[in-house]
Amino acid sequence: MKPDKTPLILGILAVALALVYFLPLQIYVRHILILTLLYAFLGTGWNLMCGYAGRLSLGHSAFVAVGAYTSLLLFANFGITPWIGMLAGGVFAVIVMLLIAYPSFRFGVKGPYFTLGSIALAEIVHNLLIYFREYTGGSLGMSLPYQPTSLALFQFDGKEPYYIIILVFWLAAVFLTWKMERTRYYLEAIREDDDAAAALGISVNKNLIIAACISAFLVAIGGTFYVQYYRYIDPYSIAGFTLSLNIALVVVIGGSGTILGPTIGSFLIIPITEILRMSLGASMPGLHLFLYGILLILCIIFLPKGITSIPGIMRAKKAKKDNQLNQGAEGVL
Amino acid sequence: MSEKVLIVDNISKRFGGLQATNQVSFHVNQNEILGIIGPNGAGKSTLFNLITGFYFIDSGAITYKGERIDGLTPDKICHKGITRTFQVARPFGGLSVADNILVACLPKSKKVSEARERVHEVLKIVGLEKKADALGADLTTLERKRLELGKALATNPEVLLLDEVMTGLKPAEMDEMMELIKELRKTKTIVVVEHVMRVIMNISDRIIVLDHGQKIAEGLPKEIAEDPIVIEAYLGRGTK
Repeated sequence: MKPDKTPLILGILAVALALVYFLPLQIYVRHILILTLLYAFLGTGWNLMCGYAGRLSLGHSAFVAVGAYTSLLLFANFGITPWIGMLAGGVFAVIVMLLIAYPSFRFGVKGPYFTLGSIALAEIVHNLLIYFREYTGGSLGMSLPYQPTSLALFQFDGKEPYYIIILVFWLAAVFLTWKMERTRYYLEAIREDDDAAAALGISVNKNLIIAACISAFLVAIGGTFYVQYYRYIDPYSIAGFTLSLNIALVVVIGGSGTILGPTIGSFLIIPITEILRMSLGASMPGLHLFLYGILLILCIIFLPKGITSIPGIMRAKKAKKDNQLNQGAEGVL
Repeated sequence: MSEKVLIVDNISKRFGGLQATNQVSFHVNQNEILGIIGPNGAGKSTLFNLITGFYFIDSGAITYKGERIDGLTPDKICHKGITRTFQVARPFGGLSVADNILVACLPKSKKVSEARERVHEVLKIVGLEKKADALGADLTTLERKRLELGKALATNPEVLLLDEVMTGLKPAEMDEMMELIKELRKTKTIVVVEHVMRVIMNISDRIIVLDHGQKIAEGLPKEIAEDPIVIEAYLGRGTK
């Protein structure tokens, strides 16, 4: 049994990222880092249900939106600090998740049907946000009422505090995933074969629901961060399909069903997308999406299990080579 | 020795127009090996699915150690102490062999580290130590059967339901598997569904015979082998 290196890698990564805080970075670079960590955080939340348990959701923007709008509405209308609004949004997202997850898991909806259901859920949330325009501003979106820098109100004039906050969120989410060792194993077994898992004494529905609820809660918290950071949200950007897809892609490219896969995927994809957009967006509009698409295709062809599968592939190749050498030696003898 | 651990009382199950199990009753004694045989489609696997909660019975009762277990879900039944294997081995293909066993050890372990300590022991029993790092999906048929048994053993059951663990094995491998099962019966109660007559006659203390969802015979291996009703069910009536 190999020793678990995850805490070591996570520790080094966290310290390195904390040190980056002190570097005199350009605002834009800092923005990319914040965005990267936000996607790493959202992806880590998504990964629990969709990576480990294999219940692929392409509608997780629904929960981002629930989190974002809940904390924003509570703040804008009642002056409730977004820190509390964030928790309220998380709880609300869990309730929304239970509405769809409980019947789905109870009646064994999985595979493409589950994915379609998740897309429909995000679409419903999207349309509800547009429909209730008196409260949400409809498709025009909603701005965060401006406050001068205040930790209590989760608003800052510079980018640095946001960087620290999302770094802590990300670290907490990854640490939580790592700590849930037993649940992770159960979810993997359920993903591979839920009947066989049940036969071994694993409660399939209970574990799926735990994963789904934590997933929704984390992603909703990401929603609150989003609105506090951007200070503006609209249904298209926060409850739309693009956001759902991006969260999923980051994880799939990095390695779904692994602790650090979402983070690795995010650190690869988000900076590349942003840099491509910055350098080519003005001169050749659309080219960055074209290159992004090619990158995705290459990843899916050559690394279907994500970047975190590379060490495993290398080991398997080496084992095969050793095996052949051994057989060759036996042949000579 | 002769305490009745598992009592199946008059259970029936119907799937649409098919009466898969029809008023079947039997019991299993402590530390006994009970063989269940019958032609294809006789309802042997259905019986396992009913006992372990994968299907619910339409009528009757299943009692384990004096407690009704019909109506419980598969995971709860496993926790009570009854574990089944699947006729077609179902390894967790994306997990390593060691992790397959680990997952099976976990539900009854307080800590993950405690489960981890047991993995090697189980791998050794089923002879898969060298395959510990291989993926479940990459195993051969024999290895899959071994892993299937290993997963079931890892749950530390009191009653083990083995669904055709011999199918697809070579004669020498069968002998090995039989020795293993005989070894296991020292501590466990075992119910075996099997097609291979040589195996079932060799290892069973008692045998029940199913045909078209009904129990048509019950007795010692020798009695069963000579029972005309059983012979007819298997070979059909002669054309006199």
